[in-house]
Amino acid sequence: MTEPLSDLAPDLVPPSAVRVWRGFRLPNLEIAQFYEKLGTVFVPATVLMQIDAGLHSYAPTVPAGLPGKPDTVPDETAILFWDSQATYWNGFTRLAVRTYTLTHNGVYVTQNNQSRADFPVAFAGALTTDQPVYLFDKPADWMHGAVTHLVAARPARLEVASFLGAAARALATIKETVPLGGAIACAGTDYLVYWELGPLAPGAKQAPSGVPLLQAALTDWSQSFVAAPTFLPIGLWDEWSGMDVRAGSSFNMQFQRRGAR
Amino acid sequence: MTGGSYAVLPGSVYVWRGFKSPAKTYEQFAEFLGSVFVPACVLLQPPVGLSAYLPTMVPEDGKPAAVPDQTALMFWATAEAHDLANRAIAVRIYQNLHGDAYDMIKSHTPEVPVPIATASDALVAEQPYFLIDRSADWMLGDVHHLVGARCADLTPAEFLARAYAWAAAFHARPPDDVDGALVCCGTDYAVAWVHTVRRWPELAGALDGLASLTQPVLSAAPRAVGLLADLWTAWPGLDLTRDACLNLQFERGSAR
Repeated sequence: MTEPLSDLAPDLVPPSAVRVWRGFRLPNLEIAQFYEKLGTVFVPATVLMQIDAGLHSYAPTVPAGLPGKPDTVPDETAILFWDSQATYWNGFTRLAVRTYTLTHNGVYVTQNNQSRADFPVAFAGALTTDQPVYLFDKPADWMHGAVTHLVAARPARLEVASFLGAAARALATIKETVPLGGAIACAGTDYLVYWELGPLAPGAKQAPSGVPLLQAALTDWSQSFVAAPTFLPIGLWDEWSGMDVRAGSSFNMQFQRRGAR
Repeated sequence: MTGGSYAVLPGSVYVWRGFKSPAKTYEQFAEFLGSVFVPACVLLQPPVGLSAYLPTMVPEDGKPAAVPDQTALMFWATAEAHDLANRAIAVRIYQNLHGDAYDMIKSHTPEVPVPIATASDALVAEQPYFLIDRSADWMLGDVHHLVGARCADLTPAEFLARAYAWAAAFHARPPDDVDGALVCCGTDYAVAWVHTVRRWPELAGALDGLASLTQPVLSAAPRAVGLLADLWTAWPGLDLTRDACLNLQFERGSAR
């Protein structure tokens, strides 16, 4: 299922057209069941149910079960790009999107917005909790690029305000000094999630990255991931046991977009 | 399936009696069913063997809490097709919808019917039975559906015994032209369906004997309705508070 990046021409969308997901596993769902739900239902359903509603790119990651990950750090993260924010909202007029959305409740803690997705705003030098930001105000095609992801815990020595300040300073440095195709970040009170879009040539050595700058500031638990381009070999009604999802899995799902078919 | 038709054996049906979650109002429950659950069933499952689907919202007015809030018959191409369908992600998505709309403790009861001949003296509470052992295509033809609360002057034991007597007599001499009949009783309610291949306005009379043991909450002929949307059409869904008893019409696929 893991394949080279598609050679399709890039299709650029604005950096504001992304839902930034931070999901926390239901406590009564064993970790093995969580992986199974993600691999057999949730991740493939995100793609197969939403392509025709305008899903543009989807990169999920599974920190759940990684050694040392605090419970206050999300168990699953994802960025879901759409043609525009309006495309996302219009999706709920369609049964497929309503159906897909209602599968969340069997997997994630949804009370009190503990698991949530939000659209980002332009980064202006500061962070507030649960408000994602984008660093570069230029359109990009995240499905056809190299996506690196960082998930980090708030260092125990830092109060929330200090944590947000330290993360914001690192992000400001990235914005000023690191040439990236795109970058998105979101802080909770106890974690930071960050994605960056590297050069279009996948696997380029010495590729510029903001991850070391963030890791220098966030020195307790953190983990970086490279999202593996991954193609689903099936349709909704084919026999298929699902994807292999485990601790640390990170995917950049590859699919033919609505307008490309 | 038999002979290229969509008639299926009576053991291929799932008889659902659902109780809404206490966290949901009746309106929220109806909204969930109409906007997602019922149309999702029809649009996600036929390609892998769903053969007929007859959902009903039981009216809230006058309905005792012990009577289900929703009933449904889900016929599959074969007895095995329901379980095999789980190999398709479309069906797994549908199955992952169940959790928060229903009280799954009250709703988690046997769904696959057994022959009435397996019962003696009394129906087993919450066990569905089929009364006619013939293949039938429930999407086509006429259906009548009864939902009733146990008559207050009957004890649960008397109710289950008399329901058995009615069912056994029905099995021994089914009405002419009725080719399918299903019944299930809890200790406090009865649900039943009868089917005929032809138009028959008097079909409801086939359930009169059972209805007399109950305070009927619903006695209706499911209305044949086709969906005018696919999974990705902008469409709000069905209003099940206005159109509560349905026989969904859809294109059927082949079973695995």
